[in-house]
Amino acid sequence: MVKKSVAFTMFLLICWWGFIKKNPFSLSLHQWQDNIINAEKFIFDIDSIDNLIIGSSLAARLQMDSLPNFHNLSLGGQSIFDGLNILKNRNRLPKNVFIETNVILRGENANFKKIVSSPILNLLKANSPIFRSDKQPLVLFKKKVIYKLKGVLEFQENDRTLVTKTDNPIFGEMLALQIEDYSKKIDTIVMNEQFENLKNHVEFLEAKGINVFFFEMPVNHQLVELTKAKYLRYRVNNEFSNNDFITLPKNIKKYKTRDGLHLTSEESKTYTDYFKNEAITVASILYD
Amino acid sequence: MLFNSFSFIGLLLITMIVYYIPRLSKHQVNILIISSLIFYAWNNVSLVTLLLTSAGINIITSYFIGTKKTSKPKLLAWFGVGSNLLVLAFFKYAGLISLTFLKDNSISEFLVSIPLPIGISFFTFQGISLVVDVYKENHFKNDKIVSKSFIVHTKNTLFFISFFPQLVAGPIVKSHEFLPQIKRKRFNEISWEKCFSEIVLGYFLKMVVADNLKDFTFWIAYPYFQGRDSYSLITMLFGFSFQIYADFAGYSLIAIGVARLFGYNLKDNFFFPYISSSFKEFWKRWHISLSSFLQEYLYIPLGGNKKGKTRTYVNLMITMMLGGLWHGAGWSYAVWGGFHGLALAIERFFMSNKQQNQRIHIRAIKTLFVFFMISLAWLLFKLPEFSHVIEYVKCILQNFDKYPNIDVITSILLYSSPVILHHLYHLYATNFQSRSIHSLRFAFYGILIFFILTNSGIPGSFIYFQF
Repeated sequence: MVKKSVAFTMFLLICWWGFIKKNPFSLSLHQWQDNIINAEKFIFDIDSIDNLIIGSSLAARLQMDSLPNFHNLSLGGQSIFDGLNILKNRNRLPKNVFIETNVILRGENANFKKIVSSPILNLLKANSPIFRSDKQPLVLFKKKVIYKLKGVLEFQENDRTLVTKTDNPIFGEMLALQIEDYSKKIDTIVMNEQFENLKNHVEFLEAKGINVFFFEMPVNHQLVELTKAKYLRYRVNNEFSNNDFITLPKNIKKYKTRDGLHLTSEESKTYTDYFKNEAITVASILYD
Repeated sequence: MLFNSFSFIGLLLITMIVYYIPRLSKHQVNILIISSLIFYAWNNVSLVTLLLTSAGINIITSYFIGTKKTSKPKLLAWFGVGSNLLVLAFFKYAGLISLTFLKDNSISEFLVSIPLPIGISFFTFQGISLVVDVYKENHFKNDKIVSKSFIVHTKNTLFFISFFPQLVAGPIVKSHEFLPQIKRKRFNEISWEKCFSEIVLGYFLKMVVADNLKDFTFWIAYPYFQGRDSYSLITMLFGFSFQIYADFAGYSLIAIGVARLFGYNLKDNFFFPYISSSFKEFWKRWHISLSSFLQEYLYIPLGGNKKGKTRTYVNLMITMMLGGLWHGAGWSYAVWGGFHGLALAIERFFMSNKQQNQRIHIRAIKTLFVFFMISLAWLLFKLPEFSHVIEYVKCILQNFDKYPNIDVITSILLYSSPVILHHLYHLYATNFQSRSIHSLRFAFYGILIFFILTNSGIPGSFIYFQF
């Protein structure tokens, strides 16, 4: 039975490979899978890129259609160090790197690092699409078959409406939690460690001839003058005084966000325009 | 070291090759001890000291009792059991005790900061089983199991306690089940089909079902669940039931399959628990090694059901609450155990008066009810604060006016379906014998490997590691 099972698996894998070649697709079910897919695309598919954004779920909201020469390696729920680690292990490096400053305190995700830097997995993923995270058969089955079932599409439309609604029903609670977090006393030991780590990454990139810039993503205006936000701003200015820092837009009071931290799609459009203009100025990026 | 890591596969292959070299066959136990210590020390070398200390206590007490080199075997047995419990209490419950009873001071800060050594709940229980089995001598004759040579006894005991397939998350192996199996093993005695089917099914449950479900049940977290609709909340609750089953049953199956590769048979730890139509049946099917351990070493010594009805109910509650606390150092785990104890007691009260109705539709309703109640109780695992559990239930009842999140619901249904189908297939197979399905087993396992390779979730640590 063992040999027959292995042979049958091989048969299925070959069929699946053939199917993917004929019907290419890229699908994901959730944020964590998005992160892995984003990393895999950056590692295996992108040969060269001029400008790279590294950030968290905050910068992941940037509208990339408006930023054609950029690649966004922002990872939802994760840290900038996860993106920087990927960059460190890459041969072809970008000209400019823009690093989000909002979540410097969040440490790297060891599990994520293990997945994207596993030599065995990377060898498989680089050589065969069937092992890539955006080519999972059950995800395809779900998206293509289940959603086609009668009646489900109607629900899906309702669902989409809810997702894009700006009035999050737990907005108040979420904002209160963020206010509490942003008002906490700064743990200088952790902060020093994180900045030391960031400094090492920046020195490494600059030694390779890359221009490094920083930017602060807008959050709810009630947070921007609280302890954590102010301290992070102060440290970035202090530690990286030679690097340009794209600060918050002047109309910050207009940013309400969905949950205190993440921009709504409309706010995201506005901020992306602001970011683009500032990036053009600081990095002298020319658009055709 | 995780079962779902390449380092584990490397260790397993190297150990197997060395283990079955005919010239080294007399060192098989030593080889497995070394591999087990490497396995345990992989992420934190200092933990080996604790494992060896715990094993040392059990080696010495069981040796002196088993070889009758003590005039006070009862006292020594108490010392052995007490020492195991003390080690467990210090490393696992010191933080909980200090948070509950001590004021904020440097001692309580120290106690709270003690890290939980991985697998401690499992290997201390195995130590207790050894000391009790040797003292009671009701499963084996000591002169056949406890060697007169201290070195041989040390090797066998250390092997029993540290055997890597079951070291960090079970199944909990009792000494009377394991020690008689220690002897030279041959490569041609390996039951490849059994090992293969257990390991493949185990990895499928862990990597395809549990690891994918975890990214949807992740949202059972305060305050995020408050914004969700009732349909999604109910689906996430059931999804977590399937996730915890797939995670732990998957781990157990891999452990059993790997142990079998070395010629050791560990008993089944799960037997389709979600088809149970009563709580009693559930505990005969869920984490069988723990429930049978608690029954044998706690419930029966407390008097079991032999000391009157009231005492039986009290014994049930004590056993289940302590069983709950075994899962974690938090009062929510005791409440979880208490919930199951109460359910067992109520069930026992009514079952003793009425005959159980076995008609299929009644059994189906009972099964669904038991599954719903058990799923509800899992909330105490996911949300350690009791007020958040209440809030979750409130949201289930109140959020029916919100649109269902089809994306979450269909994803959970999709990744839960293998567990549901596997349970249903078991029901079918026990009622109708089908040769044609049996002959297609190769295709079944072939499909499982295909999904392991192409559709695994983002690897997460095993839920039961935290216990």
